Amino acid sequence: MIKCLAEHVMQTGRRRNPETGELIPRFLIERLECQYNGKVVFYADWFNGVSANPYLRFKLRAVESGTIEIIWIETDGTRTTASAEIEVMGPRVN
Amino acid sequence: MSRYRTVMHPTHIHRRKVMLSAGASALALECGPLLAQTSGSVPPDELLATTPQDAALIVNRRKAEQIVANMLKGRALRDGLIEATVPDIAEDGSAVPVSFLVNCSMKNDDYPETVHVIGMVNPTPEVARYHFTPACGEAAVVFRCRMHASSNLSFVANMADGTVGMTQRFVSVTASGCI
Repeated sequence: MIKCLAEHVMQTGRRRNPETGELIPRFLIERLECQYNGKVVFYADWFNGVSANPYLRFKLRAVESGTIEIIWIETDGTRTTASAEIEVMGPRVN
Repeated sequence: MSRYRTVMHPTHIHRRKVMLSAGASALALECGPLLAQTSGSVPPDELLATTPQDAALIVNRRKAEQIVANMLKGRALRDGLIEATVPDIAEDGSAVPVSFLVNCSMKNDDYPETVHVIGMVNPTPEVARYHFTPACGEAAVVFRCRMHASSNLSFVANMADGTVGMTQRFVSVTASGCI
């Protein structure tokens, strides 16, 4: 089970600046990717309806030791990554 | 003066009653043709909306229903494919905890390629799209979504073998997520 939390306002492009009345441009985390030893095993596309500071919990089958990397991609293409090592003991199951 | 008003002659009351009933029948006559005209078709939802906000919600819901119909493409729904957990009442629409689980073996073609989450009255109805592979072991996700108003949340799972499943859950939203 993988849990991840990003600190992000998730601007939808529908809110206005209370002082100037101008629309605040859309700025979201548009995609979250999970790579297991360099292979994409899960990804999520996020739109306006995902809360600020998005939390996500999902599952992976642990088949081999290695690295699990989470990549958050924002509207302007910025990539932020976080990774964790996983060690699988015992014989490989199926 | 009011003391005199309370004492009324019986014939006076009688005449009033007569006048009232005459008025009612005149009203019925006036509305008659109008009712006949609309009775054949259901009035559009927009006419039932009492405020502009209500009307906006109806427009959003139509848009969301169209999006869901485009995803389903008229395919038969698989029963009990998705188990979704949502709160009955969400006090804060800007972070509603939502979770879902797709009941499948996650082997060969029996896994969901995508699961869509749609807020049925959100201005941007599609909330999130999750893509799974058999390496996930189980298609289960927990996250928090924004909700504009009390409405259904729809979960649509597109399976790799071309079948589809849908679950809808109603959430009462106390304070709008203002998306």
